[in-house]
Amino acid sequence: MPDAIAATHRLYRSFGRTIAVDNLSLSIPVRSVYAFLGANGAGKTTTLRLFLGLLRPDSGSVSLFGQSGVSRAARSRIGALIEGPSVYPHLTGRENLRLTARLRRSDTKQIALLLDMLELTAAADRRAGGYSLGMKQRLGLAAALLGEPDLVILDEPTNGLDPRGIEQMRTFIRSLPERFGTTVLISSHLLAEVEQIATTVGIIHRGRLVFEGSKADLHAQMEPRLVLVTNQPTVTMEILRSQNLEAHLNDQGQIQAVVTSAVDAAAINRRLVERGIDVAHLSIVRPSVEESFLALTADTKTERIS
Amino acid sequence: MTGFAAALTCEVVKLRRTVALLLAVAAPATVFVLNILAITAGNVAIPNWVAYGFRYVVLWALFMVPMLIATQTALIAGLEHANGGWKHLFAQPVTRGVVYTAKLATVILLLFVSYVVMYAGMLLLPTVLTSLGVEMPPGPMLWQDYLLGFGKMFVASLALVAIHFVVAWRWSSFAVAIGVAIAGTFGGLFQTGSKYGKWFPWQWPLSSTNGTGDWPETAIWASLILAVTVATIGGIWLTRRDVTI
Ligand SMILES: Nc1ncnc2c1ncn2[C@@H]1O[C@H](COP(=O)(O)OP(=O)(O)OP(=O)(O)O)[C@@H](O)[C@H]1O
Ligand SMILES: [Mg+2]
Repeated sequence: MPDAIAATHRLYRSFGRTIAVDNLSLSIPVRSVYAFLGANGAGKTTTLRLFLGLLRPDSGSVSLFGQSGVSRAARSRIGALIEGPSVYPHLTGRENLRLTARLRRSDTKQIALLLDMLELTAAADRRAGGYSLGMKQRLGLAAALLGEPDLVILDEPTNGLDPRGIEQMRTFIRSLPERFGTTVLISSHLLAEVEQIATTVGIIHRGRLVFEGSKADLHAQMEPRLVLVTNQPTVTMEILRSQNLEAHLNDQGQIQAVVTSAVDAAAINRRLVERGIDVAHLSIVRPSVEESFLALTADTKTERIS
Repeated sequence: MTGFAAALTCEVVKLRRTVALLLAVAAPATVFVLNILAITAGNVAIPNWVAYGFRYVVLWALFMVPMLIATQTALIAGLEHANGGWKHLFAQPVTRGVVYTAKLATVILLLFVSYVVMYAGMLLLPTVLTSLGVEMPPGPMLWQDYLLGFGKMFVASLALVAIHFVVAWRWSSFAVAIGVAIAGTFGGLFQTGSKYGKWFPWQWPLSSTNGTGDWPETAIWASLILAVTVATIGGIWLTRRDVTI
Protein backbone atom coordinates (compact mmCIF):
# COMPACT_ATOMS: atom_id res chain seq x y z
CA MET A 1 0.00 0.00 0.00
CA PRO A 2 2.33 2.77 -1.14
CA ASP A 3 -0.37 5.42 -0.96
CA ALA A 4 -1.32 4.69 2.65
CA ILE A 5 -0.15 7.45 4.97
CA ALA A 6 -0.89 5.33 8.00
CA ALA A 7 -1.65 1.67 8.50
CA THR A 8 -1.89 -1.05 11.09
CA HIS A 9 -0.83 -4.63 10.52
CA ARG A 10 -2.55 -7.37 12.47
CA LEU A 11 -2.72 -5.07 15.44
CA TYR A 12 -3.74 -6.68 18.71
CA ARG A 13 -4.22 -5.15 22.12
CA SER A 14 -6.04 -6.42 25.19
CA PHE A 15 -6.69 -5.08 28.68
CA GLY A 16 -6.70 -8.04 31.01
CA ARG A 17 -9.40 -10.26 29.58
CA THR A 18 -10.92 -7.60 27.37
CA ILE A 19 -9.73 -7.77 23.80
CA ALA A 20 -9.97 -4.17 22.67
CA VAL A 21 -8.29 -4.45 19.26
CA ASP A 22 -8.23 -7.80 17.53
CA ASN A 23 -6.01 -8.52 14.55
CA LEU A 24 -6.78 -5.16 13.01
CA SER A 25 -5.29 -4.18 9.65
CA LEU A 26 -6.26 -0.69 8.58
CA SER A 27 -4.99 1.33 5.69
CA ILE A 28 -5.57 5.07 5.59
CA PRO A 29 -5.12 6.50 2.08
CA VAL A 30 -3.17 9.71 1.78
CA ARG A 31 -5.33 12.87 1.66
CA SER A 32 -8.46 10.95 2.55
CA VAL A 33 -11.03 11.66 5.19
CA TYR A 34 -11.17 8.24 6.79
CA ALA A 35 -14.24 7.65 8.93
CA PHE A 36 -13.44 5.10 11.61
CA LEU A 37 -16.76 3.82 12.81
CA GLY A 38 -17.86 1.53 15.58
CA ALA A 39 -20.27 1.26 18.47
CA ASN A 40 -19.35 2.17 22.05
CA GLY A 41 -16.50 -0.01 23.22
CA ALA A 42 -15.69 -1.25 19.71
CA GLY A 43 -12.04 -0.30 20.10
CA LYS A 44 -11.81 3.03 18.27
CA THR A 45 -10.06 5.04 20.95
CA THR A 46 -7.71 2.15 21.70
CA THR A 47 -6.71 2.00 18.03
CA LEU A 48 -6.14 5.75 17.83
CA ARG A 49 -4.04 5.65 21.00
CA LEU A 50 -1.99 2.88 19.43
CA PHE A 51 -1.43 5.11 16.38
CA LEU A 52 0.06 7.77 18.67
CA GLY A 53 2.17 5.42 20.74
CA LEU A 54 0.17 6.23 23.86
CA LEU A 55 -0.45 2.49 24.11
CA ARG A 56 1.79 -0.31 22.98
CA PRO A 57 0.37 -3.19 20.98
CA ASP A 58 0.53 -6.73 22.38
CA SER A 59 1.34 -7.82 18.85
CA GLY A 60 1.15 -6.44 15.36
CA SER A 61 2.36 -3.00 14.39
CA VAL A 62 1.52 0.49 13.33
CA SER A 63 3.21 2.18 10.43
CA LEU A 64 3.22 5.90 9.80
CA PHE A 65 4.49 7.72 6.73
CA GLY A 66 5.93 4.49 5.42
CA GLN A 67 7.91 3.67 8.55
CA SER A 68 7.15 1.06 11.14
CA GLY A 69 6.51 2.20 14.70
CA VAL A 70 5.66 5.54 16.27
CA SER A 71 8.75 7.73 16.31
CA ARG A 72 9.15 11.25 17.58
CA ALA A 73 9.59 12.35 13.98
CA ALA A 74 6.28 10.72 13.10
CA ARG A 75 4.53 12.43 16.01
CA SER A 76 5.77 15.80 14.76
CA ARG A 77 3.69 15.18 11.63
CA ILE A 78 0.54 14.13 13.49
CA GLY A 79 -1.97 16.32 15.25
CA ALA A 80 -4.42 14.61 17.55
CA LEU A 81 -7.53 15.13 19.62
CA ILE A 82 -8.22 11.99 21.62
CA GLU A 83 -11.28 11.52 23.85
CA GLY A 84 -12.02 15.15 24.42
CA PRO A 85 -9.77 18.19 24.47
CA SER A 86 -6.84 18.52 26.88
CA VAL A 87 -7.11 22.06 28.17
CA TYR A 88 -5.34 23.70 31.09
CA PRO A 89 -8.20 25.69 32.62
CA HIS A 90 -6.02 28.27 34.38
CA LEU A 91 -4.41 29.33 31.11
CA THR A 92 -6.07 31.31 28.34
CA GLY A 93 -6.91 29.72 25.02
CA ARG A 94 -3.96 31.46 23.43
CA GLU A 95 -1.58 30.37 26.20
CA ASN A 96 -2.78 26.80 25.82
CA LEU A 97 -1.97 26.89 22.12
CA ARG A 98 1.42 28.49 22.79
CA LEU A 99 2.40 25.56 24.97
CA THR A 100 1.59 23.06 22.26
CA ALA A 101 3.23 25.22 19.60
CA ARG A 102 6.44 25.28 21.63
CA LEU A 103 6.53 21.51 21.91
CA ARG A 104 5.74 21.11 18.23
CA ARG A 105 8.23 23.83 17.26
CA SER A 106 5.60 25.36 15.11
CA ASP A 107 5.42 28.96 14.05
CA THR A 108 3.53 31.01 16.64
CA LYS A 109 1.98 33.03 13.80
CA GLN A 110 -0.26 30.05 13.18
CA ILE A 111 -1.92 30.53 16.54
CA ALA A 112 -3.73 33.70 15.55
CA LEU A 113 -4.68 32.10 12.25
CA LEU A 114 -6.13 29.01 13.87
CA LEU A 115 -7.95 30.97 16.54
CA ASP A 116 -9.50 32.95 13.73
CA MET A 117 -10.45 29.92 11.65
CA LEU A 118 -12.11 28.28 14.63
CA GLU A 119 -13.86 31.47 15.73
CA LEU A 120 -12.04 31.68 19.02
CA THR A 121 -10.32 35.04 18.58
CA ALA A 122 -12.73 36.95 20.79
CA ALA A 123 -12.27 34.45 23.63
CA ALA A 124 -8.57 33.83 23.06
CA ASP A 125 -7.39 35.82 26.07
CA ARG A 126 -9.94 34.48 28.50
CA ARG A 127 -9.14 31.54 30.73
CA ALA A 128 -10.02 28.32 28.98
CA GLY A 129 -11.64 26.96 32.16
CA GLY A 130 -14.54 29.29 31.42
CA TYR A 131 -15.03 28.05 27.86
CA SER A 132 -18.13 26.15 26.86
CA LEU A 133 -17.72 22.53 25.85
CA GLY A 134 -17.93 23.48 22.18
CA MET A 135 -15.24 26.14 22.61
CA LYS A 136 -12.96 23.69 24.40
CA GLN A 137 -13.52 21.21 21.60
CA ARG A 138 -12.56 23.82 19.02
CA LEU A 139 -9.51 24.76 21.06
CA GLY A 140 -8.54 21.09 21.09
CA LEU A 141 -8.96 20.98 17.33
CA ALA A 142 -6.79 24.09 16.96
CA ALA A 143 -4.09 22.42 19.04
CA ALA A 144 -4.32 19.36 16.79
CA LEU A 145 -3.79 21.53 13.71
CA LEU A 146 -0.72 23.40 14.98
CA GLY A 147 2.40 22.84 12.98
CA GLU A 148 0.53 21.88 9.80
CA PRO A 149 0.39 18.16 10.49
CA ASP A 150 0.15 15.76 7.56
CA LEU A 151 -2.18 13.51 9.51
CA VAL A 152 -4.88 14.68 11.91
CA ILE A 153 -6.41 12.10 14.23
CA LEU A 154 -9.74 13.13 15.73
CA ASP A 155 -11.55 10.92 18.20
CA GLU A 156 -15.25 11.78 18.17
CA PRO A 157 -14.53 15.50 17.74
CA THR A 158 -18.20 16.43 17.62
CA ASN A 159 -18.95 15.01 21.07
CA GLY A 160 -20.99 17.48 23.03
CA LEU A 161 -21.50 19.90 20.17
CA ASP A 162 -24.87 21.31 19.21
CA PRO A 163 -26.19 20.69 15.67
CA ARG A 164 -24.79 23.97 14.40
CA GLY A 165 -21.44 23.20 16.00
CA ILE A 166 -21.44 19.72 14.45
CA GLU A 167 -22.16 21.17 11.03
CA GLN A 168 -19.39 23.77 11.37
CA MET A 169 -16.91 21.19 12.59
CA ARG A 170 -17.86 18.92 9.70
CA THR A 171 -17.44 21.63 7.09
CA PHE A 172 -14.11 22.56 8.59
CA ILE A 173 -12.80 19.00 8.66
CA ARG A 174 -13.98 18.35 5.14
CA SER A 175 -11.97 21.33 3.91
CA LEU A 176 -8.68 20.18 5.40
CA PRO A 177 -7.45 17.83 2.63
CA GLU A 178 -7.97 20.48 -0.05
CA ARG A 179 -6.70 23.42 1.94
CA PHE A 180 -3.64 21.89 3.55
CA GLY A 181 -3.22 18.48 1.99
CA THR A 182 -4.04 16.94 5.35
CA THR A 183 -5.22 13.38 5.82
CA VAL A 184 -7.95 13.10 8.43
CA LEU A 185 -8.68 10.02 10.51
CA ILE A 186 -11.90 10.66 12.37
CA SER A 187 -13.76 8.28 14.63
CA SER A 188 -17.45 8.29 15.32
CA HIS A 189 -20.14 5.94 16.50
CA LEU A 190 -22.62 7.48 14.10
CA LEU A 191 -22.23 6.87 10.42
CA ALA A 192 -24.70 9.63 9.60
CA GLU A 193 -22.45 12.12 11.30
CA VAL A 194 -19.46 11.55 9.06
CA GLU A 195 -21.12 10.07 6.00
CA GLN A 196 -21.06 13.30 4.01
CA ILE A 197 -17.43 14.10 4.67
CA ALA A 198 -15.85 10.66 4.53
CA THR A 199 -14.02 9.45 1.46
CA THR A 200 -13.15 6.09 3.04
CA VAL A 201 -14.97 4.14 5.69
CA GLY A 202 -13.55 1.63 8.15
CA ILE A 203 -15.91 -0.18 10.48
CA ILE A 204 -14.71 -1.85 13.64
CA HIS A 205 -16.83 -4.21 15.68
CA ARG A 206 -15.59 -5.79 18.88
CA GLY A 207 -12.03 -4.93 17.97
CA ARG A 208 -12.24 -6.43 14.49
CA LEU A 209 -12.37 -4.71 11.16
CA VAL A 210 -15.65 -5.70 9.53
CA PHE A 211 -15.44 -3.37 6.59
CA GLU A 212 -12.98 -1.07 4.88
CA GLY A 213 -13.58 0.69 1.60
CA SER A 214 -15.46 3.51 -0.05
CA LYS A 215 -19.04 4.41 0.75
CA ALA A 216 -20.10 2.87 -2.56
CA ASP A 217 -18.38 -0.39 -1.58
CA LEU A 218 -20.22 -0.37 1.70
CA HIS A 219 -23.51 0.07 -0.07
CA ALA A 220 -22.73 -2.66 -2.55
CA GLN A 221 -21.98 -5.08 0.28
CA MET A 222 -25.60 -5.30 1.19
CA GLU A 223 -28.00 -7.54 -0.72
CA PRO A 224 -31.14 -5.85 -1.93
CA ARG A 225 -34.53 -6.89 -0.52
CA LEU A 226 -37.81 -7.54 -2.19
CA VAL A 227 -40.69 -5.83 -0.38
CA LEU A 228 -44.24 -6.97 -1.09
CA VAL A 229 -47.71 -6.17 0.22
CA THR A 230 -50.55 -8.45 -0.93
CA ASN A 231 -54.04 -9.43 0.19
CA GLN A 232 -52.99 -13.04 0.82
CA PRO A 233 -49.69 -12.99 2.69
CA THR A 234 -49.60 -16.72 3.51
CA VAL A 235 -50.08 -17.87 -0.06
CA THR A 236 -47.63 -15.23 -1.26
CA MET A 237 -44.98 -16.53 1.10
CA GLU A 238 -45.54 -20.08 -0.11
CA ILE A 239 -45.11 -18.97 -3.70
CA LEU A 240 -41.92 -17.09 -2.87
CA ARG A 241 -40.55 -20.06 -1.00
CA SER A 242 -41.26 -22.28 -3.95
CA GLN A 243 -38.99 -19.90 -5.89
CA ASN A 244 -36.23 -20.50 -3.31
CA LEU A 245 -36.65 -17.04 -1.83
CA GLU A 246 -36.62 -16.85 1.92
CA ALA A 247 -39.56 -14.65 2.87
CA HIS A 248 -40.65 -13.11 6.16
CA LEU A 249 -43.78 -11.26 7.16
CA ASN A 250 -43.15 -8.21 9.33
CA ASP A 251 -45.41 -6.29 11.72
CA GLN A 252 -46.54 -3.85 9.07
CA GLY A 253 -47.88 -6.65 6.90
CA GLN A 254 -44.94 -6.37 4.54
CA ILE A 255 -43.35 -9.46 3.15
CA GLN A 256 -39.62 -9.14 2.79
CA ALA A 257 -37.22 -11.42 1.01
CA VAL A 258 -33.49 -11.19 0.43
CA VAL A 259 -32.86 -11.31 -3.30
CA THR A 260 -29.96 -10.88 -5.65
CA SER A 261 -29.72 -7.87 -7.90
CA ALA A 262 -30.60 -10.07 -10.84
CA VAL A 263 -34.03 -11.01 -9.55
CA ASP A 264 -36.87 -10.35 -11.95
CA ALA A 265 -39.50 -8.37 -10.04
CA ALA A 266 -41.88 -8.35 -12.99
CA ALA A 267 -41.82 -12.15 -13.23
CA ILE A 268 -42.69 -12.50 -9.57
CA ASN A 269 -45.52 -10.01 -9.93
CA ARG A 270 -46.91 -11.92 -12.94
CA ARG A 271 -46.87 -15.22 -11.06
CA LEU A 272 -48.74 -13.74 -8.10
CA VAL A 273 -51.36 -12.12 -10.28
CA GLU A 274 -51.85 -15.39 -12.20
CA ARG A 275 -52.71 -17.02 -8.89
CA GLY A 276 -55.32 -14.34 -8.24
CA ILE A 277 -53.42 -12.42 -5.63
CA ASP A 278 -53.81 -8.63 -5.45
CA VAL A 279 -50.39 -7.02 -5.26
CA ALA A 280 -50.67 -3.63 -3.53
CA HIS A 281 -46.95 -2.96 -3.41
CA LEU A 282 -43.84 -4.50 -4.89
CA SER A 283 -40.36 -3.02 -4.84
CA ILE A 284 -36.70 -3.87 -4.59
CA VAL A 285 -35.05 -1.91 -1.83
CA ARG A 286 -31.37 -1.36 -1.27
CA PRO A 287 -30.49 -0.70 2.34
CA SER A 288 -29.20 2.75 3.16
CA VAL A 289 -25.59 3.15 4.17
CA GLU A 290 -26.80 3.61 7.72
CA GLU A 291 -28.63 0.28 7.61
CA SER A 292 -25.53 -1.38 6.19
CA PHE A 293 -23.55 0.01 9.05
CA LEU A 294 -26.03 -1.18 11.63
CA ALA A 295 -26.12 -4.60 10.04
CA LEU A 296 -22.34 -4.83 10.11
CA THR A 297 -22.15 -3.90 13.73
CA ALA A 298 -25.06 -6.05 14.86
CA ASP A 299 -23.73 -8.97 16.82
CA THR A 300 -25.46 -11.71 14.83
CA LYS A 301 -24.11 -10.64 11.48
CA THR A 302 -20.40 -10.62 12.23
CA GLU A 303 -19.59 -14.13 11.08
CA ARG A 304 -21.17 -13.53 7.75
CA ILE A 305 -18.96 -10.56 6.95
CA SER A 306 -15.65 -11.63 8.36
CA MET B 1 17.97 15.70 25.53
CA THR B 2 16.34 17.15 22.44
CA GLY B 3 13.62 19.57 23.27
CA PHE B 4 14.48 19.75 26.96
CA ALA B 5 14.60 23.55 26.97
CA ALA B 6 11.19 23.71 25.29
CA ALA B 7 9.73 21.17 27.70
CA LEU B 8 11.16 22.98 30.73
CA THR B 9 9.82 26.33 29.53
CA CYS B 10 6.41 24.73 29.05
CA GLU B 11 6.43 23.37 32.58
CA VAL B 12 7.36 26.73 34.07
CA VAL B 13 4.82 28.63 31.95
CA LYS B 14 2.15 26.12 32.98
CA LEU B 15 2.56 27.25 36.58
CA ARG B 16 1.24 30.72 35.74
CA ARG B 17 -1.73 31.57 37.94
CA THR B 18 -1.29 28.43 40.00
CA VAL B 19 -0.38 28.55 43.69
CA ALA B 20 3.00 26.91 43.10
CA LEU B 21 5.09 30.05 43.36
CA LEU B 22 2.95 31.42 46.17
CA LEU B 23 3.48 28.18 48.10
CA ALA B 24 7.20 28.29 47.43
CA VAL B 25 7.36 31.66 49.20
CA ALA B 26 4.58 31.15 51.74
CA ALA B 27 6.09 28.03 53.32
CA PRO B 28 9.37 29.69 54.39
CA ALA B 29 7.47 32.89 55.24
CA THR B 30 5.32 30.87 57.63
CA VAL B 31 8.44 29.54 59.32
CA PHE B 32 9.65 33.13 59.66
CA VAL B 33 6.41 34.31 61.30
CA LEU B 34 6.11 31.26 63.55
CA ASN B 35 9.62 31.88 64.81
CA ILE B 36 8.81 35.47 65.70
CA LEU B 37 5.69 34.36 67.55
CA ALA B 38 7.41 31.51 69.37
CA ILE B 39 10.42 33.57 70.44
CA THR B 40 8.55 36.69 71.54
CA ALA B 41 5.60 34.96 73.17
CA GLY B 42 7.66 32.30 74.87
CA ASN B 43 10.34 34.69 76.12
CA VAL B 44 12.85 32.27 74.67
CA ALA B 45 16.48 33.11 75.29
CA ILE B 46 18.88 32.61 72.42
CA PRO B 47 22.26 31.90 74.00
CA ASN B 48 24.36 31.84 70.83
CA TRP B 49 24.21 31.89 67.05
CA VAL B 50 24.43 28.11 66.70
CA ALA B 51 21.33 27.75 68.85
CA TYR B 52 19.61 30.41 66.76
CA GLY B 53 20.42 28.43 63.61
CA PHE B 54 18.92 25.22 64.97
CA ARG B 55 15.81 26.97 66.26
CA TYR B 56 15.18 28.54 62.93
CA VAL B 57 15.40 25.42 60.81
CA VAL B 58 13.99 22.59 62.93
CA LEU B 59 10.34 23.17 62.02
CA TRP B 60 11.31 23.69 58.41
CA ALA B 61 13.41 20.56 58.13
CA LEU B 62 11.01 18.23 59.91
CA PHE B 63 7.58 19.41 58.75
CA MET B 64 7.60 22.07 56.11
CA VAL B 65 10.00 20.43 53.66
CA PRO B 66 8.09 17.14 53.31
CA MET B 67 4.70 18.88 53.17
CA LEU B 68 5.93 21.43 50.67
CA ILE B 69 7.48 18.78 48.44
CA ALA B 70 4.32 16.65 48.60
CA THR B 71 2.17 19.64 47.67
CA GLN B 72 4.34 20.92 44.84
CA THR B 73 4.80 17.51 43.21
CA ALA B 74 1.07 16.80 43.51
CA LEU B 75 0.30 20.18 41.98
CA ILE B 76 2.60 19.73 39.02
CA ALA B 77 1.47 16.18 38.21
CA GLY B 78 -2.12 17.15 39.04
CA LEU B 79 -2.20 19.68 36.21
CA GLU B 80 -1.93 16.73 33.80
CA HIS B 81 -4.02 14.23 35.77
CA ALA B 82 -6.93 16.64 36.06
CA ASN B 83 -7.03 18.00 32.52
CA GLY B 84 -6.30 15.06 30.27
CA GLY B 85 -2.82 16.46 29.91
CA TRP B 86 -0.87 13.23 29.60
CA LYS B 87 -2.43 12.03 26.36
CA HIS B 88 -1.91 15.43 24.78
CA LEU B 89 1.63 15.86 26.09
CA PHE B 90 2.79 12.42 25.03
CA ALA B 91 1.25 12.77 21.59
CA GLN B 92 3.62 15.68 20.95
CA PRO B 93 7.05 15.25 19.40
CA VAL B 94 8.90 15.12 22.72
CA THR B 95 10.06 11.95 24.39
CA ARG B 96 8.47 11.01 27.68
CA GLY B 97 11.88 11.00 29.35
CA VAL B 98 12.31 14.66 28.46
CA VAL B 99 8.91 15.54 29.91
CA TYR B 100 9.72 13.56 33.04
CA THR B 101 13.06 15.30 33.52
CA ALA B 102 11.60 18.73 32.82
CA LYS B 103 8.88 18.25 35.42
CA LEU B 104 11.37 16.97 37.96
CA ALA B 105 13.62 19.95 37.29
CA THR B 106 10.66 22.27 37.83
CA VAL B 107 9.96 20.77 41.25
CA ILE B 108 13.63 21.10 42.22
CA LEU B 109 13.64 24.69 40.99
CA LEU B 110 10.60 25.54 43.10
CA LEU B 111 12.16 23.94 46.15
CA PHE B 112 15.32 25.92 45.52
CA VAL B 113 13.31 29.15 45.54
CA SER B 114 11.87 28.16 48.91
CA TYR B 115 15.33 27.51 50.31
CA VAL B 116 16.55 30.90 49.11
CA VAL B 117 13.60 32.57 50.84
CA MET B 118 14.33 30.52 53.97
CA TYR B 119 17.91 31.74 54.00
CA ALA B 120 16.90 35.36 53.45
CA GLY B 121 14.44 35.06 56.33
CA MET B 122 17.08 33.60 58.57
CA LEU B 123 19.36 36.57 57.96
CA LEU B 124 16.52 39.04 58.43
CA LEU B 125 14.97 37.65 61.59
CA PRO B 126 17.58 38.90 64.13
CA THR B 127 16.97 42.50 63.00
CA VAL B 128 13.23 42.04 63.43
CA LEU B 129 13.67 40.40 66.84
CA THR B 130 16.00 43.13 68.05
CA SER B 131 13.47 45.77 67.07
CA LEU B 132 10.89 43.82 69.10
CA GLY B 133 13.14 44.00 72.15
CA VAL B 134 14.47 40.45 72.06
CA GLU B 135 18.07 40.19 73.10
CA MET B 136 20.20 38.57 70.43
CA PRO B 137 23.50 36.80 71.09
CA PRO B 138 26.68 38.84 70.91
CA GLY B 139 29.09 38.66 68.01
CA PRO B 140 28.48 38.38 64.28
CA MET B 141 25.84 36.07 62.82
CA LEU B 142 27.16 32.81 61.31
CA TRP B 143 25.79 33.59 57.86
CA GLN B 144 28.39 31.46 56.07
CA ASP B 145 27.60 28.44 58.24
CA TYR B 146 23.91 28.97 57.65
CA LEU B 147 24.44 29.14 53.91
CA LEU B 148 26.44 25.94 53.91
CA GLY B 149 23.86 24.33 56.17
CA PHE B 150 21.01 25.17 53.77
CA GLY B 151 23.07 23.87 50.87
CA LYS B 152 23.48 20.54 52.63
CA MET B 153 19.87 20.45 53.68
CA PHE B 154 18.74 21.14 50.15
CA VAL B 155 20.69 18.14 48.87
CA ALA B 156 19.42 16.09 51.80
CA SER B 157 15.85 16.95 50.69
CA LEU B 158 16.28 15.58 47.19
CA ALA B 159 15.46 12.00 48.17
CA LEU B 160 12.04 13.22 49.30
CA VAL B 161 11.64 15.11 46.04
CA ALA B 162 12.25 11.94 44.03
CA ILE B 163 9.95 9.81 46.20
CA HIS B 164 7.09 12.30 46.14
CA PHE B 165 7.57 13.04 42.46
CA VAL B 166 7.13 9.39 41.55
CA VAL B 167 4.15 9.02 43.89
CA ALA B 168 2.42 12.10 42.49
CA TRP B 169 2.98 11.01 38.89
CA ARG B 170 1.64 7.54 39.52
CA TRP B 171 -1.34 8.37 41.76
CA SER B 172 -3.56 11.25 40.77
CA SER B 173 -5.10 11.59 44.21
CA PHE B 174 -3.89 14.48 46.33
CA ALA B 175 -4.77 12.38 49.38
CA VAL B 176 -2.13 9.83 48.45
CA ALA B 177 0.54 12.54 48.19
CA ILE B 178 -0.35 14.06 51.55
CA GLY B 179 -0.81 10.63 53.11
CA VAL B 180 2.71 9.62 52.17
CA ALA B 181 4.08 12.91 53.50
CA ILE B 182 2.27 12.52 56.82
CA ALA B 183 3.25 8.89 57.18
CA GLY B 184 6.85 9.79 56.40
CA THR B 185 7.01 12.77 58.71
CA PHE B 186 5.41 11.08 61.71
CA GLY B 187 7.09 7.81 60.97
CA GLY B 188 10.33 9.78 61.12
CA LEU B 189 9.43 11.28 64.48
CA PHE B 190 8.74 7.90 66.05
CA GLN B 191 11.93 6.53 64.65
CA THR B 192 14.25 9.20 66.05
CA GLY B 193 15.10 7.08 69.05
CA SER B 194 15.74 3.82 67.23
CA LYS B 195 19.01 3.02 65.60
CA TYR B 196 17.33 2.61 62.22
CA GLY B 197 15.63 5.99 62.48
CA LYS B 198 18.47 7.81 60.89
CA TRP B 199 18.03 5.76 57.73
CA PHE B 200 14.58 7.20 57.30
CA PRO B 201 14.72 9.74 54.41
CA TRP B 202 12.29 12.08 56.18
CA GLN B 203 14.96 12.55 58.85
CA TRP B 204 17.70 13.50 56.45
CA PRO B 205 17.02 17.24 55.99
CA LEU B 206 17.45 17.77 59.71
CA SER B 207 20.27 15.32 60.28
CA SER B 208 22.23 16.86 57.41
CA THR B 209 22.94 19.84 59.67
CA ASN B 210 22.15 18.51 63.11
CA GLY B 211 23.41 14.92 63.10
CA THR B 212 26.26 13.71 65.19
CA GLY B 213 29.59 12.27 64.08
CA ASP B 214 29.87 11.70 60.36
CA TRP B 215 26.12 11.32 60.05
CA PRO B 216 25.45 14.72 58.44
CA GLU B 217 27.77 13.74 55.62
CA THR B 218 26.14 10.31 55.31
CA ALA B 219 22.63 11.80 55.20
CA ILE B 220 23.60 14.04 52.31
CA TRP B 221 25.16 11.24 50.30
CA ALA B 222 22.35 8.85 51.11
CA SER B 223 19.83 11.42 49.92
CA LEU B 224 21.70 12.03 46.71
CA ILE B 225 22.07 8.34 45.92
CA LEU B 226 18.48 7.52 46.82
CA ALA B 227 17.22 10.50 44.81
CA VAL B 228 19.07 9.41 41.68
CA THR B 229 18.01 5.79 42.12
CA VAL B 230 14.34 6.50 42.77
CA ALA B 231 14.13 9.11 40.01
CA THR B 232 15.76 6.78 37.50
CA ILE B 233 13.81 3.65 38.33
CA GLY B 234 10.63 5.70 38.68
CA GLY B 235 11.29 7.33 35.34
CA ILE B 236 11.82 4.04 33.56
CA TRP B 237 8.70 2.62 35.15
CA LEU B 238 6.42 5.62 34.64
CA THR B 239 7.41 6.53 31.10
CA ARG B 240 6.69 3.00 29.91
CA ARG B 241 3.21 2.86 31.29
CA ASP B 242 0.17 2.96 29.04
CA VAL B 243 -1.41 6.35 28.71
CA THR B 244 -5.08 5.59 29.20
CA ILE B 245 -6.43 8.80 30.69
N1 LIG C 1 -7.51 1.40 30.02
C1 LIG C 1 -8.37 0.41 29.86
N2 LIG C 1 -8.49 -0.55 30.80
C2 LIG C 1 -9.34 -1.57 30.63
N3 LIG C 1 -10.12 -1.72 29.56
C3 LIG C 1 -10.05 -0.81 28.59
C4 LIG C 1 -9.17 0.29 28.69
N4 LIG C 1 -9.31 1.05 27.56
C5 LIG C 1 -10.23 0.43 26.81
N5 LIG C 1 -10.68 -0.69 27.42
C6 LIG C 1 -11.68 -1.63 26.89
O1 LIG C 1 -11.41 -1.86 25.53
C7 LIG C 1 -12.60 -1.86 24.77
C8 LIG C 1 -12.50 -0.82 23.68
O2 LIG C 1 -12.52 0.46 24.26
P1 LIG C 1 -12.38 1.79 23.41
O3 LIG C 1 -12.28 2.92 24.37
O4 LIG C 1 -11.27 1.63 22.45
O5 LIG C 1 -13.75 1.84 22.63
P2 LIG C 1 -14.37 2.98 21.71
O6 LIG C 1 -14.66 2.36 20.41
O7 LIG C 1 -13.49 4.17 21.71
O8 LIG C 1 -15.72 3.29 22.44
P3 LIG C 1 -16.52 4.68 22.64
O9 LIG C 1 -17.36 4.88 21.41
O10 LIG C 1 -17.39 4.41 23.82
O11 LIG C 1 -15.53 5.76 22.87
C9 LIG C 1 -13.72 -1.65 25.75
O12 LIG C 1 -14.26 -2.89 26.07
C10 LIG C 1 -13.05 -1.03 26.94
O13 LIG C 1 -13.72 -1.40 28.12
MG1 LIG D 1 -13.72 6.15 22.37
